[in-house]
Amino acid sequence: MRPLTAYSAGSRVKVCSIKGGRGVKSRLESLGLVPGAVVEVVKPAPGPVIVKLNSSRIVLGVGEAMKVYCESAPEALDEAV
Amino acid sequence: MKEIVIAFAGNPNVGKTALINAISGAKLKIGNWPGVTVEKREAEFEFEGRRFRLVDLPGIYSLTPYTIEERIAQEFLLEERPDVVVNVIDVTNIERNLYLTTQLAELEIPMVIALNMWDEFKSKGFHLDVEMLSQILQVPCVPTAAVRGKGIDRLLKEVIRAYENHILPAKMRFNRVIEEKIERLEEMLKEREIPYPLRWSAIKILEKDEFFLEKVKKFISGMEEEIERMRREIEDYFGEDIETVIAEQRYGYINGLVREVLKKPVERKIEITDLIDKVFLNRLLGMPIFFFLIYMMFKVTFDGSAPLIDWIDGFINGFVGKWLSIGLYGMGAPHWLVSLLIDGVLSGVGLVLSFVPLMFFLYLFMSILEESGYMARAAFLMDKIMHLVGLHGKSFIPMVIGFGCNVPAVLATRVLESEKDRRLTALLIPFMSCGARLPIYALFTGLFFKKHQAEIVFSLYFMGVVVSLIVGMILQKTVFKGESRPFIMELPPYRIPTVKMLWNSIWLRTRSFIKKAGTVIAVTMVILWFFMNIPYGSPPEKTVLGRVARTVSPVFYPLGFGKNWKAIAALIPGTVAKEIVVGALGQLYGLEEEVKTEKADTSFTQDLKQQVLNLKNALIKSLKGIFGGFKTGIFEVEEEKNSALARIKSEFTPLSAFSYMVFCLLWMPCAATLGAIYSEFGAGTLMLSILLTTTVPYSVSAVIYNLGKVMGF
Repeated sequence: MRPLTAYSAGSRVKVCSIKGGRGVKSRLESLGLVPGAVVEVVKPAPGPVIVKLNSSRIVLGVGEAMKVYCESAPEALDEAV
Repeated sequence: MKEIVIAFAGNPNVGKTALINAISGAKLKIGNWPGVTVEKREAEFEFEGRRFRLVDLPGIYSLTPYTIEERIAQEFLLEERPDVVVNVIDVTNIERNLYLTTQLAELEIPMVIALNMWDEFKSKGFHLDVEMLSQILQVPCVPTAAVRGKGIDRLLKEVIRAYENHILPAKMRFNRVIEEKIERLEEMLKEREIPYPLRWSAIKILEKDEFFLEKVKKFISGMEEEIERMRREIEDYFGEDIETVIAEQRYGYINGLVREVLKKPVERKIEITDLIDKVFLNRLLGMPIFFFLIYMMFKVTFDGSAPLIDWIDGFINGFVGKWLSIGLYGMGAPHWLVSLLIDGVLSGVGLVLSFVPLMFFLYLFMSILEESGYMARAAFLMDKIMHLVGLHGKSFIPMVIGFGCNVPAVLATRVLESEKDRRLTALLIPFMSCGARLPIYALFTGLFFKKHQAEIVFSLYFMGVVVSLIVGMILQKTVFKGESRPFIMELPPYRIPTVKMLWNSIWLRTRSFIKKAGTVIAVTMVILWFFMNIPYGSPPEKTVLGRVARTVSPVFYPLGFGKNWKAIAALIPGTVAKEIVVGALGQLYGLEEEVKTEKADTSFTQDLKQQVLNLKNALIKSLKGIFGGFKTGIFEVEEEKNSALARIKSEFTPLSAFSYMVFCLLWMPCAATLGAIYSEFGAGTLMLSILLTTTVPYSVSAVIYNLGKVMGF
């Protein structure tokens, strides 16, 4: 389990847990970033991170991206949804 | 006749406003950057003998209370209980959009879902079982394409049906561990006669929705311990905090639902948005492209509008002015009245009106940036720079809007989550050079910097940004200490703005500019004329305005234009609206002109024909200016004909003119902006803003003028 900032462009990752205050969590959750969601890293750190979730693109500041812990998601998981 | 209130709720950028426009035929503003709908917008209309009121709720992702938008939406839905909620969904992103739907369903208000962007969705190869979706959610679902006006009639029919039959949506079920608690809490709340939907209230209380808890405080007093026990039980069972558990459960339900109704295309095509982003958000190319776009925006604005500005100027002063004065004298009007109307009102308002083409082009580009989706990218690119002042990229959006007009910019700070970020951003907005300041630059650069007009104007805009960053840094170290709020933002897909969209947006803004010229500015011009002519017949420096301006002028000596009391006098009415500075300068410097008794050496129709011909030439020149490559166009200010301009030129040096432009750039924003700051943040922030916008311009102009003098300009 590594923070989102640790992944390179193009990696597919599964969100495991989100640390941090309620404000951050609630924002991310309402955008679909909940534990279990599979996202693709479009633009990695340094600087703000962009991830793609289904067909939406979400920008996370470095501070926020550090709080999202993920694991690598195998390609197959994608089609499960 | 009872009015049927329909609230439109949905995520940002799903085309809610476009849908309302399509239904009501009203001209509402539609946008494509996160949260353009910050004010409460309504439209009223009649259909089949019924009266409808459509309320455009702010774009929200959920009904939690973390942003002002979410609070506005929650408050409206709970307290005003609209008759029907139309949940607008961007069907190309259905999973995320349904999150809000599951929350809306708990409000127990009849609902209809508009599956918007339907044509885009189909063309991407998706297939959705609309029938099945309607059945599971127990909500009529209607495919729509708001921009093309498709599906509108059916949507309206379903809304009426939902209203008449009071069809309530199905509510999703949570895991039984949670359901137990919800049911128990519902019973407890029923006894207390809570005035909100029971299930909604139970969930919100369990979720610790601070905003809602505050609302129902007196209903749940004494129950707090029991509720806390329920929360703990759920958290222990799932091993996560309650809010995450509930969000996860909602997405679990949605994923199951979507699996039943949605067929994704087998082949995943590369999306155009991703390709464009590869270039526009590129680490190396991103910033240069951004600055190039902004530079081109000002360049085309200037080159395209210059010939039209000349034409309007000639039309008003040469044609309208001439025939009006002939007409007035012909009717035996006294000399002072002709002077008031021609020199006061017409020349001032005329000068301001002549900048309408400039506004038009500027607003055109601002709209394209907004509607295309590029604005959010600009915020992303600027994140690093904004961090210098303790803000993040999202604050940049209101600041860019400030280039168009500071008033909506102040309102647009509402997209920011934290109060601190909002206040700081609002204090920096007045340093963003709004459209109304452009006429001032146009006038002075036309007189002093003909060859480098676009560059000088660009440098002024740039300076505004730099000054705001420096001021921001100082404020952050002193008044606004502390962490800034999370930077989380959606990048909307790129969309080609339709002509209709752009026109609505440009016309809305240009119209208010023209209206201002006809009302506020005209009245100010009349008042100004009196101050400039009392006592009547005395030389300009002995008039009321002259005396005041001359008394304060020594203060401005270090800035280089202290000796021109007229320039200082023009700043005074300029606080009402910045464009008045130009009109006032026109009046003040035009004073010494002898009042010509115009003679009709040509006939009215001859003149009119000539004007039409001139317009045609101006339009051709404008097109040439826009597409004519990089050569900077020149304002053809005809000095020999316009002696006021010649006199302005003689009283300034290029350096003092530049200093004056910088001063106007940073000086107190117009009354409307100050009003917006006051209504959003209160008197304290207003005072701080006034303090900043008086001391900062003074210091900056003084530094520039004296440095420039040392350097030999």
